[in-house]
Amino acid sequence: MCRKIFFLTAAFYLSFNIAAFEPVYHAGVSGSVNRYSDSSDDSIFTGFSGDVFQRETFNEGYYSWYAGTVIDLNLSDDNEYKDMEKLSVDLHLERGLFEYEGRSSIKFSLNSIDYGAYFQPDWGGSVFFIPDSPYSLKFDYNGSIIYQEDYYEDRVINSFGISAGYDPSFKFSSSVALKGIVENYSEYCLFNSFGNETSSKRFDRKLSAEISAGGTAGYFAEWEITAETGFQDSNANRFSSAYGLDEDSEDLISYKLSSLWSFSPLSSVEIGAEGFAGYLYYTDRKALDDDGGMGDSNLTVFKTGGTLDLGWTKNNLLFWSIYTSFYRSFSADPEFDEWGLETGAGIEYSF
Amino acid sequence: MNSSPERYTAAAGTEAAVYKFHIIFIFFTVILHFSLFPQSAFSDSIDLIRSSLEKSEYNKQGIGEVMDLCIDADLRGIPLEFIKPRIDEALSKKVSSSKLAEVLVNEIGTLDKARSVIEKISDADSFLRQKNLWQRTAVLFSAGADEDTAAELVKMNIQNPDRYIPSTSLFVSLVKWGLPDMTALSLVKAVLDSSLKEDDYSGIISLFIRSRRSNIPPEKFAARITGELGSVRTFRQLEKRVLQ
Repeated sequence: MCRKIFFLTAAFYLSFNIAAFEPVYHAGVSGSVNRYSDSSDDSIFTGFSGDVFQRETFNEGYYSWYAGTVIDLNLSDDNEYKDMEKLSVDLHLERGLFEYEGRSSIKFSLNSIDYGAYFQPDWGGSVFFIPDSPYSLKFDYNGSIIYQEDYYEDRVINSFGISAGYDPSFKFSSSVALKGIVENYSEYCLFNSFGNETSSKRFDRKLSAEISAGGTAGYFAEWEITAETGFQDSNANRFSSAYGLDEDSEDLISYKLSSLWSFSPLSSVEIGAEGFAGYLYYTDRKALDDDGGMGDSNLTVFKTGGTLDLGWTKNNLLFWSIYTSFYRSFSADPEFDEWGLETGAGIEYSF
Repeated sequence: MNSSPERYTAAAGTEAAVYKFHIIFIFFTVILHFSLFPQSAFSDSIDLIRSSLEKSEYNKQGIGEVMDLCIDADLRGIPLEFIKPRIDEALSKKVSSSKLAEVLVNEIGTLDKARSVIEKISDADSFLRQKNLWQRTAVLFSAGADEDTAAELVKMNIQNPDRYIPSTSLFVSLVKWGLPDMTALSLVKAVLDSSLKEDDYSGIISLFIRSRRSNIPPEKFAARITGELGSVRTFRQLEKRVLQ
């Protein structure tokens, strides 16, 4: 049996003329200070991370795998730590005008602070139609299961997408995409008019459209801008003794604009900036006032945020970085009026 | 008087021979003149440069210093059309004559060096005939390349000089970004051997910019690209294969 497996493996390798990239390993330490609007104290974290990436290529495609872990200790609270692990594999095949991609991954955490243990397997596939022109088409399917030990939003997510790309050159590319998503919640129960949980579970349908463009600015800078709008139709409701049963409380329309800019004038320096602004309009939900009573106007939330990072290396092995990120959401409803700020630094050894 | 037809024929033959001799003499004089002073015979550039300098704020000594360099370049067979844009730029930016002279000395030196590198390579005459290729070779020296590297880049493009400008642009941008000359040279060779379109050559640097965000050591990433270039038809395919 072992011999058979050996020969099959050898035949597979020989038939595709496989060449491996040299694996890339990273190991790093980091520290960060976090402050949020709902907490009066700063949280100080120190973190350890490590990952490895390997890709094998052959004449008509490649396959690759990745394994990584991040562990953060909260120095402000001796008993608190969080971790996140990821394992992924993907296969990409090129056949004439078509390309095919299959991918799967598992993200998990033994302790994610907010959710306890966390487990998320993902899988997906894409078919690309790439004629000999700047235009291309892509069909996508992605699936996910989210399990959260201490939280009630466990769910199965399935999404389907189609996108058309226009890539005249490396200097500029653009795409438009449409995506449909269904989410089945397994623990999120609906309320009845008496405020009791029923056996009916939450079920969401989402539709989104996205347009994005990106390219180079001079030799050493890259940019990308994405505009997105979406509609969420959910059967979820909420109940409070103050206002009773509020049906369709999660139905909403969203708009989002995000951008990314990165600049590396020398291999030793990297500067990156990301930003976003988003607007949520809840179609069937009123904003609560400071006393928890229901107001007259629909709930709206305006969110904005960004990250600025600076990286430096002297020898292309030890990479230093500092970053700062923030977000702010504005809303008449105090629950949604919040902010957060994080500043950190890290050193990563790449080999 | 001998007015026989033979005499007339003989006289006419002598005149024709003298006439022919004059024509040949003038022809060879012109050829010799153009060989010794190839540019000065064709170019009004020296007068144009003098006129521009005289209209500038430079004093006589400054004008003389710049003109001497131009005349020297002209005598050395370096086309003044290479130098004139530098002078125009310096005048428009009001750069001092001594600074301009310094720039010109460097420019003339690299052009001279480029010519001597090209002349040593057999079948590379087109790189001197096409002045933009000669000038591009000089740019390589300004970017810090040594003579062996410049010669290697000329040799790589000898069969297809049209790819010289895009491939050397890639080389210069990779070296400026921080790749060692030899790594950049191997990468350019792999690019020239690949099916990538010339317009996409410069896209290679954008891959390095993106790999930098993932802290991938550039030498390792260069090896990845070099290894994959033989298997891809388009830049997009390369992008997918090498980026994580």
